Amino acid sequence: MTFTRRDAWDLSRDEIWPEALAWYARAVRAMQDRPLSDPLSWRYQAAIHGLANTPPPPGAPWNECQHATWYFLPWHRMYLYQFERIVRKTIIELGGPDDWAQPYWNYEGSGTSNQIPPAFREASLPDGSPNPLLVNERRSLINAGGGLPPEITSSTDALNTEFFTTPFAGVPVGFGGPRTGFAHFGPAPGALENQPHNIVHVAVGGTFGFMSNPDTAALDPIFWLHHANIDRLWETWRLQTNANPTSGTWRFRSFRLRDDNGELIRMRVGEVVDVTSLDYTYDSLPLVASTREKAEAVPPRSRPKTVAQSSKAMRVGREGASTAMKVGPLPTPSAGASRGREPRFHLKLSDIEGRANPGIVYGVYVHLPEEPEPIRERRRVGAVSFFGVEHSTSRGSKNPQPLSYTFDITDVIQQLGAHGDVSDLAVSLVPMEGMVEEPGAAAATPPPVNIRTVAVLTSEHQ
Amino acid sequence: MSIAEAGWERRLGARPSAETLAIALPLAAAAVGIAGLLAVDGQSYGHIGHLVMIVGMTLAMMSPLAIPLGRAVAGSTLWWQARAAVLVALTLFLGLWGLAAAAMHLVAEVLGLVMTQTGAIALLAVGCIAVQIGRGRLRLLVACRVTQPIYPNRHLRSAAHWAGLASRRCMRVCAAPMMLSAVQPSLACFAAVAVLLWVERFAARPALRVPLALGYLGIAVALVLTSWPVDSAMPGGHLGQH
Repeated sequence: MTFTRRDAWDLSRDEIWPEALAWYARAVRAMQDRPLSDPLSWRYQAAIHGLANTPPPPGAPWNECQHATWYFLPWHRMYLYQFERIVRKTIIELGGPDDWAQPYWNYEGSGTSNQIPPAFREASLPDGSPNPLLVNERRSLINAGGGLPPEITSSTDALNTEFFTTPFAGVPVGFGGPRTGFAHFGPAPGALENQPHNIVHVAVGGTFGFMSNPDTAALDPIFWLHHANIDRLWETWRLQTNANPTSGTWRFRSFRLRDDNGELIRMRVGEVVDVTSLDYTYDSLPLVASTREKAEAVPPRSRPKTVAQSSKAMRVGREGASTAMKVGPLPTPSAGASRGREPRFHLKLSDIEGRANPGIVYGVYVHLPEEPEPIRERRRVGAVSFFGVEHSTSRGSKNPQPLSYTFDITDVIQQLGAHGDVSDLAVSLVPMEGMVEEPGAAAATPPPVNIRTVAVLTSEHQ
Repeated sequence: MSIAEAGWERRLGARPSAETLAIALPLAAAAVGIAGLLAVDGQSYGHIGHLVMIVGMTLAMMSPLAIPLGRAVAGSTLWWQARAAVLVALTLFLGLWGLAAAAMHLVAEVLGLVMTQTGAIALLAVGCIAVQIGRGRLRLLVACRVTQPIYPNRHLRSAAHWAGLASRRCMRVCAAPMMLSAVQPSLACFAAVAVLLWVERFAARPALRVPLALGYLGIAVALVLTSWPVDSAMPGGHLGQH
């Protein structure tokens, strides 16, 4: 039997409580009633993703989510797959249908799709009991029906990324993330992981909300619909024109999870590289022109070179931050570089550390230092939300590692170059509209995030 | 000079790149270390021979681990400053390890004196196994790869700072196994410990902890078996032989 995952907003056009979401809510409540020690409980399942300050029971696969690594997509696919089976089994035990499938939240859809589906904002279920899909630990705007801006939900840039991974710590950024070993939090998110995944997390969670912190994110029932959408986008990317890694290191890596009987199991990445090998599909996947196995796209083999770098760190608080840098000479292209093709330019924000997420989504701008504000608006190269930044410090993680982000800024550099001298560049992080909540007590304001390296790199086409 | 005006013809292009240096320098250090090892292996040069052997072993074992450091420094530095930064970082990293090797030689001698060679081997083997099985090993391994900023206006100082941090983090991971191989230095023992260290560092997989622990146990057993006649006849380990 193949289970079809459907868009929660398509289900919700005519009613707040379509059957799939009503049964999801009942199952969530049943799972929440189970003790933490039960592998089928809501909190145990969330702890597999992350749980701070609670030592795991012996052998429990807690705190094993993979982020900022090329295992991000397959790990979350396995995790969601097993969660879906647990929810389905719970629904059957409650007397519900046996064909329930995990709905997804397509925030890029038409109309009101950029709002969280209404079932997640209702105070009570149809029977009048409290609604377990509503959590107060969200950005207030989200629970009030506010929509996410299209600039932060767009997956276009990610879906246009040709290759899955890159060996050079995310420069240029690949679709799925950099090559790493097991990485609870690795060095750099892939294109899809940064946007929309990370950004929607923080846009929904706000300051101190569940979704903004990996150690609480899976406690919010919308988490699973968000990840179903990310999973759908991965499958969309694969079916368009692209191919997953063929490396044995990637395909043979296995991860521990709990199945719907609560048993400890291992799943290999190779088992989940396309959803046709599992028992589910999506209602909106693109038509496939050819079923022929595609060759894996390979990123440039030459190491990118740094051509500009700031001479001090950026401290990013609620107001954002800005820094300037001198652009130096460009390196000579290697013999293998394609003739006639321009080099690519990348902005790299790296060595990022912070003790808490500010709960703000920042637009990232590359511009000339003296450019007026209205013109700077045209120089946006991406967005960051610092999701997982708690894990960059020794206080927040069992294996701390600074974060980094990379953005392709070739178009902006060409725009600036067409207007004259670009020997000086400025980089600004500016909170995006609607993404800053009213400050609470001063003590509750998260400390600034420290971006210790801001650099521009070039890479060659081959 | 602006990017718009720059084109692709640039100065400095003919010099060897920082990337090349980041690979060549550690390999050269490894070659020197191996040459030193071979020169004294099986010879009776006393303390100096052991010191040369342990420093050579250290350079040979640590040089492959210096390559990722050199490449990371090269990638984090303005490209025309990268060669100097890589040179400083690798020289300091390997130099600090050379000093650490001398200290390890001293500690191995003292351990052999105060508790017999077999006791020293047992103690260090327990240490190697305990850190494999204990929590926090992955944290230490990940810390070895943590990058640091290199600021353009003080790139050599930044590179030196990074190398200092990297060598300190690296020593936390590798000190116990290297001490084990320093108690009774031999080519075979160095090779076995080097393989375990490289596998652990480059694979960084929690699943390998038990095989690695068994590997250290095997090395310790082999060392005890080969040292038994010396140890039983001459308290003080290899120091007692001189």
